[in-house]
Amino acid sequence: MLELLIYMLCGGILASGLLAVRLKSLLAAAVSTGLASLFAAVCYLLLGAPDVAMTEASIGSGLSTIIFLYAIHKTTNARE
Amino acid sequence: MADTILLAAAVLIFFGISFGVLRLVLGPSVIDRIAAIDTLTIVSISTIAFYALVADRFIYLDAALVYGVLSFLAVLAVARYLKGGF
Amino acid sequence: MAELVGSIAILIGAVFLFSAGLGMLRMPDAFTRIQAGTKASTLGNIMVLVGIAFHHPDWTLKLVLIAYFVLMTNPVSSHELARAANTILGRAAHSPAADAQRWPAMERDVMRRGAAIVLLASLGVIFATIALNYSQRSSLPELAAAYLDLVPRELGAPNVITGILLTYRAFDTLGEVAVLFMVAAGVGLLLGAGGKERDDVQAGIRRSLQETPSTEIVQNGAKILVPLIAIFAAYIVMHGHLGPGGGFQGGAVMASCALLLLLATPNYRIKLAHLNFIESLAGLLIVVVGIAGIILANGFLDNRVLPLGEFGAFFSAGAIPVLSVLLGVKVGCELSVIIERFRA
Repeated sequence: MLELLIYMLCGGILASGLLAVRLKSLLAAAVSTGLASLFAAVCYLLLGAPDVAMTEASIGSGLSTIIFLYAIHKTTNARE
Repeated sequence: MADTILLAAAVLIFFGISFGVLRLVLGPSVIDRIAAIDTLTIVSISTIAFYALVADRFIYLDAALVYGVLSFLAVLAVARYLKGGF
Repeated sequence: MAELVGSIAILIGAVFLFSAGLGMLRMPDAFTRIQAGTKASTLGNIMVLVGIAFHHPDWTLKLVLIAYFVLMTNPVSSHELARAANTILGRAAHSPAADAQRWPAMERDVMRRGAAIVLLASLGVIFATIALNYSQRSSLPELAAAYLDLVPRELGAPNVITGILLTYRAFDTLGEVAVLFMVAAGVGLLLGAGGKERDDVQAGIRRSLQETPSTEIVQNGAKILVPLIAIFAAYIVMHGHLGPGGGFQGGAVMASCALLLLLATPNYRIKLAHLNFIESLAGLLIVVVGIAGIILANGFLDNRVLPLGEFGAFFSAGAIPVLSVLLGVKVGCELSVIIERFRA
């Protein structure tokens, strides 16, 4: 039962990684990276590592996506 | 009796997550994808709390608390970016 | 009896969460999808937490905290998202937006596709081999068993991971902190605009924000949330030796608090000189505690410079809380400096 749930979450990580590579809009790709981090944090919790889950949550849920957004904002505006 | 109820709840939550991921894949505009991620974050808070109940450990609730506090920052920043003024 | 009521509450919450996902899939419009997703999932979440509180009544306070934070933060983000959707999609929400696509388009180049498929298939074979040869151990390996025995006994810390990170492998932690410092310095070198150039950039940001100021709900929400997030970061740092947490997690949450402040009041300038001074002072104090470990106890960054105290109490486990605080302050300052450099 638990292994089934972990396999499904890993499938979710694969799906969001594939989506982050194939999407044309950079913004949606950056957000898909955040989604992969969310699924990975739940996987870490199911495998019995709450410390790692908290670290992944605190960095991947807000900060990582925002730094990607800042980088997209800087490079897109500079081209125009 | 209580175990089958919890199993039914787990199946329902799993289908909710998969529908959210489906909307993330299908959504025509970027707003749909961001809304799907917002929903998936709240559902995953419920999933973490549910697993803390099943595994009978109090300390797993801290991870749910971190997500509850921090998950809205990404959606807020994306919404501000889309409106133009960052 | 209470367990049955709790399980039924969890089932009702799961029904609401399922309907949130179903609504996201079936609704015809971006606005209705936002409403179905955020409102139904918040209610389902609260019902699930209430059900868990019936199962374990002594968990009630933390569950109430989770429900309170979800209730405070979710309306702010969904409101901003709906406003952004109004700006982008306008009234014609059924027509595709500027960056709309149904499904990502495939490339025309067959050879690149073939090479990519071969590479992914070989990686899949390698991972499948590793996954199929995995068999679960029946007992812990020697090193893990030794750590599980030593840390509560010698160091007096219930959380084994924090004990290892801040005492036995504290030198590696100092190395990681040095890497983070190098990242912040590198970002400052690449993106840093000092003095007058930074003033010009800030004036540009201020001018572009005259047309789109931050809305009232974000400002009022931030006034309530910023102190609460700061207290939460302090809680994570101080309870590092008792439960999951420690320096890094608390520092990242502190940087998120600074980020919320930046998003709510965009004219706010973080004083980089003060942050650099605090961060350097924290790094210096970590090395001072380490050298005190050489003089007074068994080695560099040993935690027995302070008394071990009673097992599981708040002030216990020697110098581990002190090191956690210094680490949290340093990591929080570094991440805030990185964010501020990226912004300006």
